[in-house]
Amino acid sequence: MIKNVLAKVVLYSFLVGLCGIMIMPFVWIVSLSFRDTYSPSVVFSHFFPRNPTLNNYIKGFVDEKFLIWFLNSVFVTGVATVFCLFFDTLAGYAFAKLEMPGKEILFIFLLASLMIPFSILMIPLFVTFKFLGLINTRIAMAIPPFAYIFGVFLMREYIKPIPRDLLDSARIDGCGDWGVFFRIILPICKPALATLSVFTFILTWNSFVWPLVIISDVAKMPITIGMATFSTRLRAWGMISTLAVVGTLPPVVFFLALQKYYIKAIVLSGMKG
Amino acid sequence: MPRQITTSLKWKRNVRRYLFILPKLSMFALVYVFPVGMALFLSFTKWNIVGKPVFIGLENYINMWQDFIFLKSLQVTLIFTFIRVPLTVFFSLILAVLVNMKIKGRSVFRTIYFVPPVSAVAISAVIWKLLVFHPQLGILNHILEFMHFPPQDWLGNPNLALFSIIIFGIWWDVGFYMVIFLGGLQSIPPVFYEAAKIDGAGSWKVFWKITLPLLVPVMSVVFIMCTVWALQLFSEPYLFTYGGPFYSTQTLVLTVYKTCFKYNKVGYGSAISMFLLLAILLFSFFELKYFRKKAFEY
Repeated sequence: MIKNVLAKVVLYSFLVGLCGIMIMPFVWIVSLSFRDTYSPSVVFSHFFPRNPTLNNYIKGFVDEKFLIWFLNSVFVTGVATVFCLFFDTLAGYAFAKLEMPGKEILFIFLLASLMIPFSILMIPLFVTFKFLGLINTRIAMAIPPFAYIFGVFLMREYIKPIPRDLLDSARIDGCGDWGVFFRIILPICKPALATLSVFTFILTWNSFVWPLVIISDVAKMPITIGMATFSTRLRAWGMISTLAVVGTLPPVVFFLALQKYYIKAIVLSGMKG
Repeated sequence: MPRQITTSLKWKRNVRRYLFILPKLSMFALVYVFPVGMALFLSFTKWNIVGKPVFIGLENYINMWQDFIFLKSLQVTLIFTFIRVPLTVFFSLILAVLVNMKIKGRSVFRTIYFVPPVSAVAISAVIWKLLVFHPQLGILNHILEFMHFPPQDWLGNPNLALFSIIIFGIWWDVGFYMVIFLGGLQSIPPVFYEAAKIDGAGSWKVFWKITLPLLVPVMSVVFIMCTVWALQLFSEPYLFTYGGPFYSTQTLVLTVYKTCFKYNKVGYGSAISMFLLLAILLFSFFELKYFRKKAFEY
């Protein structure tokens, strides 16, 4: 009996301690962002800033490029998410329910793309975009996410179980393929759409390598690259923390709001992988 | 439904239906198919982006093996992979098992552990550079000083830098793979556990003989995902140390990046990236084979 209680206490303390380790960096950075200057010994000596100040935020958004970087991220992520939500569902519907010659082989071919490492696409994509004159444009950052196949896979799995009868009855009522899509499929897919939107949002917002390759103009950088650029600024710890807060908040908030869906997506990809 | 659809009507219908996947398909071709072909082509050339590529056959592939930086980055990447993958899989599995036990607040733990993977590597890396690894500000050195140990230069010491990045990587990854393992654990039908209980098996034995074997498919997924990610590591070395000190953290992809964008040797960089593709495919193939065999045994 006692051994059981002891074991539970140990287990709980370990897990809670681990929670602390996982979150500590983020929580502490919030505290740092409200401090003006500090010496090394003072960083960890207390959590709540003695003289909280909004200086870092003001300087960052007004003097530095924080706002621009943030808006760039919003733009790229928004465009990519909307594109994927619509076209992945469309493709997922086609693969799940529409008879088309050769669609099985095509789908396997598409899935193979999940294995292709980005490192091999880095150079040719750069060369291609240079040829197309899309270097240093905001839209260029959103284009590789347009090609993610995971969304198609997700929507296909979600649409497959929809009973044929439902679709057939819609057809009898006079719906063509498009009608079935907009009136039946899309409304049913709301949970999957939520999942896909979280997934795409987080993936695109956090992306680093592609924007790094394609953007060198400071005004076009998303927040991740902005962070990399700004972090070399000496002694600007307060503002670096501010930028970190601004850059981490959107995906974390989105995740916490829709975590049920995001975790489902991860588990699904693991099981089917 | 009318059965006698004429051929031309059927053809029109098929074309119309392919329109559904056309946008996605064209993006796919642009972003995946075409670049892989181009990478292959470029790997046989010498090119600095200005002017025309010059065909040089297998020269890039031959020169690789005499290039100190390539060999060093190959070594770094392999060391990194062989250390990080087993550690990450081990910790995330343990964590999944612990969280799966009948304790309150399981979903809260799961959510909190999942926060690091939700953050951008780029931003978390900078946070760690500031809060954890920083020689003066960082918490690690604070702890060391408290215990009267000498402070370390976590990112500046060639012997420590890779190790530091591995620690960061595990912190970042563990929640993600834990969730995948949790999904696997929760999909094991309780029937197995009940049968084992009836047979009087202790929990250790249950774990070894029932849980682990049933987790093999999930474990293969986790292993392969982790390996592929580790082999391609770029953001962490770029942000923490930019490959330094003395190339002790320069991974293969970082080498590819520097080769192309710093030294403008696009052909050579493509050849290295094709080599990396081959390495990834080989690792995945052998890991898959290993786990297939294990699954078969059980």
